[in-house]
Amino acid sequence: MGASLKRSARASSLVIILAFVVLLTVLVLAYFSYSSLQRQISQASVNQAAAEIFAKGAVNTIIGDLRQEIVAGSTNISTNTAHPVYYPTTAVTMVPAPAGFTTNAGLENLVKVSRAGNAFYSGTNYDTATHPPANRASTLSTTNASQNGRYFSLDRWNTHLLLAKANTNSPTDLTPTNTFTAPDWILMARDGSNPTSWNNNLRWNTTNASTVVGRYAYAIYDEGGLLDMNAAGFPPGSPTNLIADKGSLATADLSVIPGMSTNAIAAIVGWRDFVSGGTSGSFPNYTFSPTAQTNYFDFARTNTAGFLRTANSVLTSGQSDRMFVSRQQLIQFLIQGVASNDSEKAALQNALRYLGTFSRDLEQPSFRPDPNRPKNTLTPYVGDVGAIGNGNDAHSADGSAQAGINPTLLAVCDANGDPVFKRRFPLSRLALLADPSANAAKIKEYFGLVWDSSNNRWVYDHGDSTRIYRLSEVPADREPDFFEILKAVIHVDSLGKQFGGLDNGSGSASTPHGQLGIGSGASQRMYDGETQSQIARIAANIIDQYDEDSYPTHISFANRSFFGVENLPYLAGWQQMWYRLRQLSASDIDPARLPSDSSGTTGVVFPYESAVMIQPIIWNPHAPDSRANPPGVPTEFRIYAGATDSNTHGVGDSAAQCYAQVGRDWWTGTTTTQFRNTFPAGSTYASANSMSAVGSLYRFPYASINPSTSILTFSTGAGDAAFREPFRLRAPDFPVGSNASNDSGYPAGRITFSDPALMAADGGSSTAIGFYCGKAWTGPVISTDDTQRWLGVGQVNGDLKMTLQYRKDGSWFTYDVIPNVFNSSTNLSTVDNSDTAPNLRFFRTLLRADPRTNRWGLFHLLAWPSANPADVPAGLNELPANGVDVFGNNKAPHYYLPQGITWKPSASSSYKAQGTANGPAAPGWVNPSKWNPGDLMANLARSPNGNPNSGTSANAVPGAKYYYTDPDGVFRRGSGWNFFGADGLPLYTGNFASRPVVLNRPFRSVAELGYVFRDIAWKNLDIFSPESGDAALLDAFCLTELDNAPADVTIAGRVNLNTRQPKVLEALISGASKAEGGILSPGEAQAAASALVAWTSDTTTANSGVLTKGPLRNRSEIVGKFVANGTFPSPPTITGSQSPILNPETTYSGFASRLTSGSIFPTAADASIPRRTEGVIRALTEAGNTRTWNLLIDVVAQVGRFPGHTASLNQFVVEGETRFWVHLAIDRSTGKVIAEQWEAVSE
Amino acid sequence: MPSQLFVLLAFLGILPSLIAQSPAPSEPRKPLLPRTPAKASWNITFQYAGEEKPPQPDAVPRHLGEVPQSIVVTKINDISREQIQLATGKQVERWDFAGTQFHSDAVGTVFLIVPPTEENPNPEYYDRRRSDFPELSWLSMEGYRGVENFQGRPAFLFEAERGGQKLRAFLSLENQLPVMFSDGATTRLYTYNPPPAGPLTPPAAFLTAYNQHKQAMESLNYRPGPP
Repeated sequence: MGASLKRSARASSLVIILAFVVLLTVLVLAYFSYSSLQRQISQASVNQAAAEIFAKGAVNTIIGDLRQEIVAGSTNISTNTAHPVYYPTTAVTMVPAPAGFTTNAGLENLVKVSRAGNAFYSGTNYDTATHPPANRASTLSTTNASQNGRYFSLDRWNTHLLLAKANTNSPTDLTPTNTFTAPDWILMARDGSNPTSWNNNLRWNTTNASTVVGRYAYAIYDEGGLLDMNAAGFPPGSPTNLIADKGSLATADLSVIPGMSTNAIAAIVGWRDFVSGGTSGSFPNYTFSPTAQTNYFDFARTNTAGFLRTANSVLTSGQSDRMFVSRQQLIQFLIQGVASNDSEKAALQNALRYLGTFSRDLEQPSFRPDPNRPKNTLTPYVGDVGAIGNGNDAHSADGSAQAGINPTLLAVCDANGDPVFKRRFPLSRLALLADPSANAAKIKEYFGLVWDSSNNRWVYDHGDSTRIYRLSEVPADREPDFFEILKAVIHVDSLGKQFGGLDNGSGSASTPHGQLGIGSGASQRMYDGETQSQIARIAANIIDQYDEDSYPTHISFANRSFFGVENLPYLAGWQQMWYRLRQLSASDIDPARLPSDSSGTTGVVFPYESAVMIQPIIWNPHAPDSRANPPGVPTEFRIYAGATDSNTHGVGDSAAQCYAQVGRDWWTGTTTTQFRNTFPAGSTYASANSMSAVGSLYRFPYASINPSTSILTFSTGAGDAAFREPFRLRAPDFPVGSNASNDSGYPAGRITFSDPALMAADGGSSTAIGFYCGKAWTGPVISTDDTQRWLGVGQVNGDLKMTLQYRKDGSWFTYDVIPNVFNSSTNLSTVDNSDTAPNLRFFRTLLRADPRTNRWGLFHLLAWPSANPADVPAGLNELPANGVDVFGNNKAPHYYLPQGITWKPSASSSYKAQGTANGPAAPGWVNPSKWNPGDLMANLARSPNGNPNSGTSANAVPGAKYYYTDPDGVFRRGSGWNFFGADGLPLYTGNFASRPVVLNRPFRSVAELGYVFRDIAWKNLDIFSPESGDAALLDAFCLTELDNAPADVTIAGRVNLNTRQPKVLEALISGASKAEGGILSPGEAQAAASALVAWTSDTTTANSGVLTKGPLRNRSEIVGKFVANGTFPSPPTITGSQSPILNPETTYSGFASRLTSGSIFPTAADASIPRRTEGVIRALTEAGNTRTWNLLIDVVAQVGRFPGHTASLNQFVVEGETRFWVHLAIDRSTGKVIAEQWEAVSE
Repeated sequence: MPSQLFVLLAFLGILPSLIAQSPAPSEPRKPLLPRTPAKASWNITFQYAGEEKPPQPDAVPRHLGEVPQSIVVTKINDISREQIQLATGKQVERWDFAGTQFHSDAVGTVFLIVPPTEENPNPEYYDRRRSDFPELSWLSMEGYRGVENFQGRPAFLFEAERGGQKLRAFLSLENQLPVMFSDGATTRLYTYNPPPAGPLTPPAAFLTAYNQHKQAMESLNYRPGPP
């Protein structure tokens, strides 16, 4: 028993010991196992960290390559070595070069992939010698499995859904379209090199510098070409009128995006803009009230956060606005949050290749005028000296002056090297002008204006009262103001078009007097040639488009007054009317003293006692205000006349006395320099008429022209009294409802006459009103005898100044002035003839080319009044030339001057006027036949399609007889150049759809500047024609302030206008306004979007080695850009014009030409009327970006090694892997990284 | 006696030479129409043909209208004033500020007299800086007719014809300033006053009109600086 117990005890001990041994072994094993696991975990963590660091290095390498590409494809246009500015050598290099793939459908977003044998950029457009491109990728595809089985499948390359899916119906298969080839690996050696093929030095070695330590691959996408879902889209069901004016990415129509459902749009907008959008309901089923919809669009236009942050300042129901902070969040939001079934999931997956979450732009202008653009080298006519007036005051023979005035914006820097023009000028600042007192400091800072309350005007003086500074002259302590910006960016060679005044009846260019504005015409030329004066007028016009009222803004600058254009009546011209008061009889004068007729018989024809009235012609050339009850619209007006000192070019508003006279004294035969209206002495008639003795003869009393008393009044009302067509203030209450009258203190301004022929032609009234200029005896001409013939022509001795005022709060304010009503002795009316109406008596008439401007003065013609619009059935037809002019020739122009209608062009009319064929009215004018002032008005509104001069009127475009060059020699076309029938032509009677519009509201798009009158006949600021001198305005201005500007001018919510995604552009354009034409149809939006993509993608069409199309280098190029000087096959003969004369259609090129080509808009009017066509430009501009590259870099990085036994690239052992989607914004102009957003991809 | 006779004859012999040495010249000097002193004043009185009562008892005297009856001209350097008495009994003024001229009408309104141009003659404007008597611009030695008595005193007579009218003027032998001018229809008689003692002060209406015009003129020289 004892032994057995002992054995038993020993056995137990053994068991216990063994158990302990086992336990210990287990513990040891467990310990080692744990340690190993911990080691593996630790190693994995280390590898992950290493991979992340490695990935960041890879991304930085990619960014470096991108910046290298910018430099290689650019010219440094900065003179500051510390702050280079890179301008693309050609339009092609404006965008990242596609690399590593072939452009195909479904790959629209793809920019680059890592691909063996493919340089990062290539071609002659890049300076690859100085800046060689990277070519890093090995021949190993990422889809090949590694030694330890790691590979990157095709569908993994499309988890971001930026590539079109091969199977669009599957909610789970993300495989991209088969045209996509997965990127190749880029190997990274320890020394930073990128071996592209196998060699044994790649194997792991602790010391070898060539040892590969990791690899990465990338695909780069143009995220800027997508719709940033932190900004795009509006509440479904919003009224079209809220959408139509566009103005930000928020007005993008997401419904055109394939796969987007209404529910998805509502979910996005409702969730994102929960407060700002006034969202109701809960995710994902949001709704929007009409008020919420309105508020949403207001919010979008005034968002000072620039879509970089949420903009709400309060919470609603404890909720805020929200943002998508990553693409993965957007994907999850749509696929897991919104989609309720597989079909919707698949659809939204398809939509995601049009959607992004990141976009950045700089709200800073970068326009660069083409250094090779045509410039004005002609000497202007300034100060009464100089050559024929075609130049402006900004001319220089070498173009240096123009280069200083219109500089490369980014190249004008302050002491810190920062651009002087730091940020786009927000048009919202125009609102400050509504309260001059409260906003005085800001108005001075932003506009350089100070309110002069005593004169009800603004005074511009921002350092120099006589000048608007150039950008380079702007003081260091402020930013450029509104005027300085306009001066810097409007093409100065397109400004200051001077009046030529070349008509002296013989076609001579040296003796101006034909179309006089002020005095001899010299001063008018001087004013016309002042480029800064035109800038000031444009500034005033912009202000008055923006403000709500219709009181014209008055700006005083350099001792000039500039009045903004409002929807008001203007002085269209004036007519010198001679009214026969009565015919004298034997009781008045001795018949025996009458001159003899041609047969020698005396005493048979008695003269008439005639009175002369100068009558203003009033016209509001605008379309009627569409607002129901517009506020602040003046309805009471008055015109006063004063005398000018004609010897000094028209100054002052003096009282003066004038008299009427006929061509030569009847009895004495004296010349016009000596005679007066005289009559033999001793007549009781003389006493009865208060005549005074002058020598042996008598004269009528002088007429008094006194600005204090010589006043005519009228008001605007319904019907004709709205003055939507030109009416002459010829009689009391004419047109009916106008209350037209002479002022009660001006009884001389009303006469009663007896002239049946004139009365019948002029509306039947025997009472006339006007500025009374005295009485004279007139004809009739009864023979060809010289003595009597001179009685057939008459004149007024003194020049006048005519001032139009409106009434506000009991005071009168000036807003339009004709500085010189020209009454020289050569400005004669045919006041008497054998009286067969209407073709024998004609009265001197002067008309402005456009009632809104005095540019070029007034053009003159002789006209017979008519109350019958049918008198002008198809143009201003010449009447039979039965009369004689002062020279006894049947050459006088004889036209009807109708009331209440405008003149429209005629294809067949033949005109005669003073001047000759090719006798230009101003340098640069072309007249295939003979120039004709009346037709001129119509044709100023448009310009030629094609060659404007084939030598004869028969070959010209019907009615298009007059064209002119700008000072740089370019035939810039008028606003109506693309007319079709009446569409586009404002001078057709009642053609309101083609008449100018005054918005009287804040701008909703920078491109609405296209509504602004340019202070040159029938031209607005041009965003309609490629040759525009105003396109840079689209780059210089923005709508709204940014909170952090000017320190930070970054903004989000922009789309790359060079995108290859037509649907994205279509979303921007869809629903845009065509003004009176409604909104763009889906087909039109689609066509316009496709056209733009085709335009920017065309990198081959060129002229003189310059791309005519291709990527846009600036927002302005959506309108057009200079290409190369293009002349006409048969250049027109133009005296005094810049040479060569340049064809706008070949000298410039722009996407705007596609909009007018007829292929976008099936309705001709939509392509003919600028404000309709410009709807596309308005939609694209405000939400468009060209300057900033917004890229999504999809990078996969692996750390690992090639073990010692490996012998090929595919034997890489992966030790760690990471993937990032890097959202990157790079400024193409400076190469600086504006923003980065790293998104770690979890799969 | 013979000696006395000899002396008498000798005196008679030298008499013509004594006469030739008198202050009254036989030929007008040049310039024919000298300028008045810098400070001067003179009156012009107008007479019109037919103004007098016609011989026929039922005939109406010629109606003159608002023509001048007399003018008092006062000048200091380039500024001159004309105080004009009209035939109607009303008074008006005319001021010349170194070529910028204004006149008032019977109710006091001040009007600018627009300077003439080649195309736009204005006979109302005459430049006193060139001549104090612009109405006598026709004077020339060709029209000199010798010394004749005018109102009992010898004076230089000039005549000419213009536009069918006979022009006639007498200039003072002493200073060659005009004493009479007639164009057949109107006769002007000139008398001279002592020079003005004090400055010429325009009435407020003239001063306002002049200042406004001056300001407007000066603005012509004020234009935007080079762009």
